Amino acid sequence: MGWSQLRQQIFYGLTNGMAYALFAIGLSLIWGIVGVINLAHGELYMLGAMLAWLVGTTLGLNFFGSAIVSIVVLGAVGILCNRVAVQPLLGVRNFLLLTLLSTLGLSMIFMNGAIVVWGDISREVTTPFSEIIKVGGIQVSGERVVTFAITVGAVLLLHFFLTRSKLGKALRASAQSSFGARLVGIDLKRIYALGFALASALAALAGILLAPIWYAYPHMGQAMLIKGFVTVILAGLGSIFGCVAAGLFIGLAESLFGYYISVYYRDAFCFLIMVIILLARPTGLFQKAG
Amino acid sequence: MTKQRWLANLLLLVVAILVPTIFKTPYLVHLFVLSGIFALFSLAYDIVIGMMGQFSFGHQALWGLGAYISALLAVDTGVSPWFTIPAGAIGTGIFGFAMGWISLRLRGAYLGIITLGFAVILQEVIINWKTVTHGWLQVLRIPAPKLGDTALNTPFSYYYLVLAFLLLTIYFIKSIQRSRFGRGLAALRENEQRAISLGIPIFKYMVVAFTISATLSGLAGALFAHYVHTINPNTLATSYLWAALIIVLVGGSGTLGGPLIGTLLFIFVPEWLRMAAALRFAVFGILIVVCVVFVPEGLYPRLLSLWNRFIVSRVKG
Repeated sequence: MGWSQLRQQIFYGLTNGMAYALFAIGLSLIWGIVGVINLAHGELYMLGAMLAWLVGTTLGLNFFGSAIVSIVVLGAVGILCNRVAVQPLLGVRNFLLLTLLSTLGLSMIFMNGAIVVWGDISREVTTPFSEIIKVGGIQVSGERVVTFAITVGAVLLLHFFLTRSKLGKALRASAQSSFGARLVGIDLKRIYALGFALASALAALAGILLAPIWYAYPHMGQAMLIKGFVTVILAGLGSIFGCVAAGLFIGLAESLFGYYISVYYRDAFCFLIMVIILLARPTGLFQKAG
Repeated sequence: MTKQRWLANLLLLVVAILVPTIFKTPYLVHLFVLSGIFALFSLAYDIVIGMMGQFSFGHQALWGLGAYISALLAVDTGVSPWFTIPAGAIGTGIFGFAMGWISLRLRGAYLGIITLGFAVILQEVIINWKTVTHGWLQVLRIPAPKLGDTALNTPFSYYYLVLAFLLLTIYFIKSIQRSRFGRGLAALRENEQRAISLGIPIFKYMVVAFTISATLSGLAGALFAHYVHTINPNTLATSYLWAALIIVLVGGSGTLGGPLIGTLLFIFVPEWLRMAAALRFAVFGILIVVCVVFVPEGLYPRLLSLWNRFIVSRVKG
């Protein structure tokens, strides 16, 4: 067990972690802004990956072209999800539980629909940067580096959107207080639709970036959803950079624990950390007070 | 209870007892057995969701734990299922007590996620602690309980076992709801601050209710194990949680009739949807969304209000 192995595991941990972060940010956005735990988020991620594969193989577009098509389509799917399963329930008692159920219904529709349409098999998404090079004694795959870089870019873009633009500020205001947001004339329905579109597009981006590394298949969203929950909870709701830090932390902890201690108890270890942190700091590690 | 409600309940009870004679095919009775087991599980889940107004995403672990304790005792030590089934329930109750005592400091989605954490950890332990749990090799040939010399291994005989447990559970939950404890839980569900100010020891009440819910979930899981005869780590999968969630919310949470109606729909509608072939579960998903959006309070409360509007008012008028 040399240093190069350690560095290799850190590299895997960081790149996986960045992917968890990208996935979790969308989950966190909807949770924070609309107050919905979107159980279909994993399926949006899956649809993003499957669409990229479909567009790439049938229309013959290159990786970036099919990525853009898939992201745009998924943004629209997100708006549709909001319109069908969330908007009618606004203001109903038990909103959180009911939307949990309606998004669970959506996830069943998407997953089983995907199995029927595309079959329950893994698809390979090819990229122009799949070669593996050796850097400092560790194996670095181009796909992982590109995933990491694009995620950093997407997170920064999202951060500037949320803090600088008027629309982004309206999103944040609605997350802080829906009542206050209505008072200053923000149309909540449009904000929620925007939140869903944004979150679904981010989920799709995560799926597209990860499919070349982990393949695309109809069940891929299920395991990711649970990882996403842990990330959001560790980060504290609505904190983008918190999601990044929590995602990186989970990715690192997972790969180091898996390599050095036990690969069998990897998920249990992640959840154990989460349980302890939740008990010590119930609002997450990066939640600002107030 | 009005006279009409009382008569309706009596009629339902008679129908429930006659189910195996009305539906003579083993497969249909089998579906009713499953309904009974899932109804028990959903009633247990609804103690947390409906009576207490809290979240749990960890009940699949309680269901699975009950199944595992009872099955392993029966298979590996040869104890009679009549003892292992209660042992499964009680063991799960003890685990549920610890889980509730640790988790119930949190509220809302955080409570949901921490209970999910317990479930994931327990499932990995069951997968990997192979010397005790058999891991992915499954627990096979789980014996059915015996009455005298006859094993209750047909849907017809097992149906009455499940029905007996279900009726006991319904009676038990009903008497909780009428008790001081149950009213305390209702107060806590409606307004936590006010319940505290009234001097209700809410943490204690919640832990006790969670423990009861866990015990009943374990019972349902144990009954399931001795009916299907084979369990594996997927018995702790989230699909069982989603089942309970769908049943409780579609039927109507916080009521006794809701989980019962919800279960019958949950078991029989997918069977009926077999004509949709591969699209079966996608169609089921569509039905769930439609149901939540158009009947958010649940089917049972909606049916009750329709009943009151059309039947009762007409009788009086």
